[in-house]
Amino acid sequence: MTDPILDGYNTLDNLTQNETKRFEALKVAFHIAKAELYGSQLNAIMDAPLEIDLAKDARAFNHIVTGDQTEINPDDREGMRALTREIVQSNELAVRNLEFASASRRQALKDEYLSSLSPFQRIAFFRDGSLETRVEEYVINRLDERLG
Amino acid sequence: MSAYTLSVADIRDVGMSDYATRSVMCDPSLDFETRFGPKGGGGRRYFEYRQVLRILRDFPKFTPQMQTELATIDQSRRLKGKE
Repeated sequence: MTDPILDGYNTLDNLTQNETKRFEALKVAFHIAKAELYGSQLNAIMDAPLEIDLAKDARAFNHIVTGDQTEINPDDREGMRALTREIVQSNELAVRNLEFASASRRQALKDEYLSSLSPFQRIAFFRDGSLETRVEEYVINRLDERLG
Repeated sequence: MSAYTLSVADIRDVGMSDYATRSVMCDPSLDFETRFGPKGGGGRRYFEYRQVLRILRDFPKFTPQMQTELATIDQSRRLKGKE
């Protein structure tokens, strides 16, 4: 009767016109929340799998089918941010993607700090053992600055 | 509460036929969670609304009203522990 195709895709194939409209609106809100939370850290290749995860979420699917806004409201920024964070954190590939982006960003900041020092300063900090802590402080400050 | 909220009894209660109910029970593509009673008896299967809906929509007697009723049951069971 029903073909056992890939789960998730199958759910999306079965939507009516109104449901598709609601899903589109939800997707837009989801991508805005994703951009607010993670900026450019998440690769564009993760968009499609995360959209499927969004449709598979029971609260989101209930909103898509009934239009009920008790649990999910696309206009509620805080609620959308919480939902987006939950969906991204539960996707293993997305988490790995974020970890990698964070590691490469840290390395870039570290290089930036070391190149800003003069060779004499670098040697002096290295000799008194404060180079590592200074680098860490700089990286943390820059990351906080970006988040704030 | 997990997303597995609907049992076949719920599908029967909204007015679907025995045939429809059985076809949900026997569909191999469905994920389900089995929950037992307080004394370990029963063992009822619970399904996800989004997966069940896809099967029920193939039945001509499945109405939008039934769809809304199932959605309400699903939502109320998910929200049960949160209040």
